[in-house]
Amino acid sequence: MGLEQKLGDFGFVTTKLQDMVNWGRTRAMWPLGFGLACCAIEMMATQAPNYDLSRFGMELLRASPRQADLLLVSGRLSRKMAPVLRKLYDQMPDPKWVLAMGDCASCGGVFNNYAIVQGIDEIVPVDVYVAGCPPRPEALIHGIMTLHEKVKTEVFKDYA
Amino acid sequence: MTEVLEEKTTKLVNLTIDNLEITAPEGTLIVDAAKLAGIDIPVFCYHPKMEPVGMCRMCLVDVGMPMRDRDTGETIMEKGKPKIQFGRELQTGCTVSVSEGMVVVGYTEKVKKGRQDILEFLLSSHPLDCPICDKGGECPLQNLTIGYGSGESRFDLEEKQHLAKHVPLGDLIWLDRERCIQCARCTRFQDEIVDQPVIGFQNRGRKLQIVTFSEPGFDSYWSGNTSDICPVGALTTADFRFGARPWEMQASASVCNQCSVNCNITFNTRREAKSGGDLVIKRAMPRQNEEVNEVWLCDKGRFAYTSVKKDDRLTQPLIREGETLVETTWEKALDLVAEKAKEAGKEMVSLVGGRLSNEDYFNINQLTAHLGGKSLLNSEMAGGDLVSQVGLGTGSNIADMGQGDAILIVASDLEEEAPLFWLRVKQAAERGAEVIIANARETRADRFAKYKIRIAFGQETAVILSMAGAKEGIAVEFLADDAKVKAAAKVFSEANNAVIYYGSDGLGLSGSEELSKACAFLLSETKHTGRPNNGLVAVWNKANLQGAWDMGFRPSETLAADLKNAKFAYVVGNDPASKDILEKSLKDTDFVVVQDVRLSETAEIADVVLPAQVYTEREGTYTSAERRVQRFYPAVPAPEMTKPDYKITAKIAKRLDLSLEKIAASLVFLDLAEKVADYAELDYVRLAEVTEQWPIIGRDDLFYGGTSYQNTQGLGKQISPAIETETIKYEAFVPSVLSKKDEFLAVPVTTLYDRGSTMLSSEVLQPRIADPYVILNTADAEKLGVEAGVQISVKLNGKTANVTAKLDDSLAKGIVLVPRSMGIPISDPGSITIKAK
Amino acid sequence: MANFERFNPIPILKGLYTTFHSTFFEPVVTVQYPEEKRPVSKRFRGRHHLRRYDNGLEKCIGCALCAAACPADAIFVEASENNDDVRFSPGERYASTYEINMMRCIFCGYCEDACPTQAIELGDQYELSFTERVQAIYTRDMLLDTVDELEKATPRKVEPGAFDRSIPMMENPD
Repeated sequence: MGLEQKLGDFGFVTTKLQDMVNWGRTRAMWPLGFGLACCAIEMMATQAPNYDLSRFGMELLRASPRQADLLLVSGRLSRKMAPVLRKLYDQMPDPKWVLAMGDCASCGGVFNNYAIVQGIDEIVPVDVYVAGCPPRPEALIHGIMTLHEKVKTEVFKDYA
Repeated sequence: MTEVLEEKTTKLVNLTIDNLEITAPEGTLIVDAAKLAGIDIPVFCYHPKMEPVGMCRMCLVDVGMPMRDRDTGETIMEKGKPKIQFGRELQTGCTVSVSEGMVVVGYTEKVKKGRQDILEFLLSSHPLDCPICDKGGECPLQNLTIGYGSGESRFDLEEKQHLAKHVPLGDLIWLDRERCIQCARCTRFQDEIVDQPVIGFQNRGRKLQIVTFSEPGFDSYWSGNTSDICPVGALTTADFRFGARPWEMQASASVCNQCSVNCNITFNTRREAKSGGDLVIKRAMPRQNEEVNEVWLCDKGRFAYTSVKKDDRLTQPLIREGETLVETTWEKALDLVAEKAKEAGKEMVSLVGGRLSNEDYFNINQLTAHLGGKSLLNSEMAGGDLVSQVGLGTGSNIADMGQGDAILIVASDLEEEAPLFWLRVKQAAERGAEVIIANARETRADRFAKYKIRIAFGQETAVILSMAGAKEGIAVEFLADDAKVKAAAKVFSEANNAVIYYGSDGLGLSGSEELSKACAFLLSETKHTGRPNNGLVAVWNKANLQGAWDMGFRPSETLAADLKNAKFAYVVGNDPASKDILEKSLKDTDFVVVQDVRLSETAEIADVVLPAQVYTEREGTYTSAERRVQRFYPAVPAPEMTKPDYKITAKIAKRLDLSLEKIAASLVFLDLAEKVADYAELDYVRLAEVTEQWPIIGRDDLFYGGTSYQNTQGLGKQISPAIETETIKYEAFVPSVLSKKDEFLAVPVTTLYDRGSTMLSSEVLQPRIADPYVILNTADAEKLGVEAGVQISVKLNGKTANVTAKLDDSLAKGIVLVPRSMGIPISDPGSITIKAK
Repeated sequence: MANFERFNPIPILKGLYTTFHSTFFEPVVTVQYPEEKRPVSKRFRGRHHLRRYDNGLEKCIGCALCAAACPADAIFVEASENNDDVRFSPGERYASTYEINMMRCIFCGYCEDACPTQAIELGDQYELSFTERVQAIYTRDMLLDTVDELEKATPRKVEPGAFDRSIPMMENPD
C-alpha cells in the first residue's frame, strides 16, 4: 500500500516489519502435541495425510518443547498432570501460544470434578479454545486459523 | 414415629399391610398406618392434616377381615391362621380405619388395575403440559402416573376439555382449570383449616371448576398453602410463575422473620439472568416443624422474602462530609465510629430493631455495657422480662392442647399479628380447648372463642386483673357483663393447662407493660406457670423482640429524650427517623451511626452508615415468642463489602479494647450461652437437631403431604422460663385512663399487610397493600359526613396526613383504629382530629 | 564394504516405487480444508439451532428439559410469561434467556431428545473456536433461526386465543 501505488509496479511490496514478522510466525508454527485423551486421536488425524497440518507449515507435531511454538493441549488435564503441562510450557521458547483443544481442556467439559483441572487456563494462558467433544480435525484447523488471525494482530509493543 | 401417634391413643391393633405385620393405634386410617410402616399407598385428595373425603379413589386397596362364625362369633381358623374374607370391591384406604386382624393388600392385579383406571380417568382431561407447568418435577400426578399409570389411554384425545389456563384467583394465586383433578384439597383447606371458604366448587361433573367468592379474589392470608398441597399444577403462586424448574434450585433452610412465630421455611435459590447472574431467592416454602408452623405458612411469610429492594441496598460504608454521605473504607468508618464512641463514653445509646439475630444483640449489648451506655429497643410493646420468667414451659406445643385446657387472648388480633398462632389456637379450640378472648373489637379469633369479653380500649389490664380476682382498684366497667368475666376466670383457673397470648392491640408501651404484668400475675395466681403448655406468650410484632429482651435490651418510654441527650447513637437495624419526634431528637444527637441493610430515613441523617447483611445472607438464631431458639442459614451470597452485624460490632469493640467474637455466629453464640443464663445449654449443634415428625412430609412422595420441605436442619430448642426462682407479685394497679380530650381517640392496631419495608419490597404483594387508612365507626362517620373509601384528613401527634376512611360498625363510638406501619406514625393511643374533605 | 555382497536393492526400489506410485498415480487424499469442506454425515451433531414454526413463532417454550438432560450442564434457560400482545411462542411460557456454553457442550444430542416441541436441533456447523471464554456462550439471539419475513418476527401481537397451547396437540393413535 502507499509506496507501490505511487511508484507503480516495480515487482516489490512494502509492508510493516511488524506485519511481516507476524506473517512469518503464522507460516511456521511448530506444534507441541500434548495429547491427553480422546482429543489426541483427532489431533493425530489432523497431522496425518487426510488433513495434513504440514500445509500450514506445521511440519512436526512432536513432544518436544524446545523447538515448539504452539502448545496443543488435547484432552482432560488431571491435577496430577498439571505441573507437567506447566513445565513444558515454561520450557518452550518465546514467542509461544497455547491452544486448548476440546471441551475438557477448555473448561473441564463433563468432568466437573476434583480430579480434573477446570480449563487449562488455570495453569497456562490460552490463546484459542476449540469447542467439540472431540473437535473434528477441521475444527482444530479452524482453531489454528483463528490463532493465526490473532497472531496477525499482534504488535511489537506486546512482543516483549 | 409410631410413638407420636401412640401418645394420643393407647389401644393398638395388629394388622397386615402388604404381608408386613404392623401395629397401629386404633382409629388410624389405612393410608396413615401404611405410611408409618413405610408402605406407600398413593393418594390425591387425602392430606394427613385434613379430614378424609375419598374423592379421588386413588388409594384403592383390597381390604380383608378375619371371618367369624355367625353363631359363636369366633374367628374361623384355617391352617392355624384366621381365615380372611376380602370384600367384593376395592376400598379407599383413606377412609377406612384399621382394625384388629385386618389384611390390606395393595399389590395384586385387581388393585393395580383399579389404580390404573383411576389414573386413566384423571388424565382423560388433563392437558399433559408438564413441560411448562410449575409443578412439573414435584407433581404428585406426574409421579403417580409414572408409578401406577398404565402408560396409554383408551380415551379419545379429541374429547379433552379445553378450559381457561390462565385464571387469576386473586393476586397471588393462578388457576389452570384444565389441570385441576377436582380433589378439593384447596377448598377443604380454606374451609377446614383456616375457616375462610373464599374459594369453592362451581358446577358439576366435568364442568366442575374452582371459583373465588371474595372481593378481592382469594382474599385470605393463607392462599399460598393451597398451591403447596395441590397435587397438580392447577394452583400456582404468582411470584414463582415460570420462575425455575424445581430440580434446578438449591434449598436452604431459614426462619421467617416477618412475625414472632418464626415459622420454619426453606428458600429455593437459583442464578437469575434478570439479576445479572446473581443467586437469588426464587420462592419460600414451608419447612415442617410440628411445634411451630406444622407444614403451613402465611402469605406474608411466603411472598415477602425480598427484604430489600436492590436499589435501596447499602453496599459500602458511608461517611458524612458536609451535607452528603460519601463512600469510604471500612477502616476509616470504623476508626471514626470508635473514636466518637470513646469520646461519648457513658453518654452513648444503642438502639436496636426487632429483626436482628441473638448474636447481634449480644455483641451490641456487650459493647454498650463496656462503654456504660444504654441498650435500648425500638419497640412499642413490653413484657419480655416477664415472658422469660413465666413464659411457656419447655416442651410446650399448642398442638397438645385440647379438652380441659384454656387459652386466653387479650388485646390481640391474633391473625393479623401472628397468623400461625391464630391457626394453632383455632385448632386447639377445635380439639376442645376453651378459648377466652378479651378484646376491644371484633377479630377473626372470635369465631372459635367460647368466651368473648368485649372491653373498651384501655381496659385490658383491668379485665385480666379482675379475672385474677384482684378486686381492689378496679373501677372500670366492662362492656361485657361481669358474669361472663367470672365464668371465663373460672374456666381459666380450673383449666389443666392455660396459655395467655397478649398482643398490642390498642396499646402503647406503658399500657403493654401494665398488661404484661397483669397477665403474669393471673398466671401465677392460677398456678399456670413452669409447666409445658402453660405460660405467657407475648405476640411481638417483630421476629426477634423476645431475643432482644433476653439479651438485655429494653424499650424506653423516654426514647426521644434519651436520643436527644446522647452524644453517640448507635442505631442498628431500625429506622427511628421515620417517626417525626424521634427524627427531631436524633438531629440533636451529636453523632449518629446507622448500621442497616438499606438507606433508611435515619441513615440519611446519620454521620456514619455501616452496611450490614440481610438475614438471608448470613447465619444466626432467632428466639420466637414461644421462646424457641432456632437457627437460620445463609441462602444467598452477601454483597462483597457488607458484614454481618455481630462482626461490625466486634470490629468497633476491638478499637475500644473490648474483645468480642467476630469470626462466626456459632462462636458468638457460645459466648452468649456462657453469659446469658437461659441459653446456657444451647449451642449450634443442639439447635440443628431433628427428630422424626408426624405426618411424614416432603420426601420422595410429594403426593402425601404436598411440597413442604422435610426438616433436616433443626427444630430449634425451647428454653425454659425461670419461674422456679422467682414469684410474680403484682403491685398496686393504676388503671390507665385513656383521656379523650377531643372527639376521637386513635388507637394503634397491627395489620399483617402493612406498609413496612419488607412488605413494600415484595413485588407480588403490591396489589394487596392498602393505601394508608384509618377505621372509623359507621355512626361516627355518618356524623362527619364520611363515606367508606373516601379520602379524609387526620391530624395525629401534630402531623396531618391524608388517608382513606374505612368503616366498621362493630367498633365502639369515638374510636379510630390507626394501623401501625401504615404511613401514619403512631406509638401510643392518643387524640386524633378528623376532617372530611 | 564387507556387507556389499549382501546388498539387495530390490526392497529399496520396491519402497521407492510405492512412493513414486502414490505420488504420481494415486489420487490425493488430503482435504484442502479451509478452501474445501467435506460434507458431514446426516447424523452429525454440530452447533445448535432453535427452530421456529412456519408462522414464525418460536418452538422453544422455556421448559428447561434440555438443561435437565444436559450431562455437561451447558444449557441455562430462564422462562417468562407470554401473552397475546407480546408473543414469542405458543402458550403461556417462553424462554426469555437461553444460553448454551459451546465450550461445555459435548454435542451428545440429549437436549434434542428431551425437547418436547423439537425446538432445539443440532446443526452441522463445527467451526467453533474462540479466543475468549465468553465468546463460547451462545445466546438466544444467536441460536434462534432468522426469519425471512418481517411479520414473522417475534415478539409480535397475535389475535387473542389463537395460540394458547404450548405443546402441539396430540393426535389419536391409529
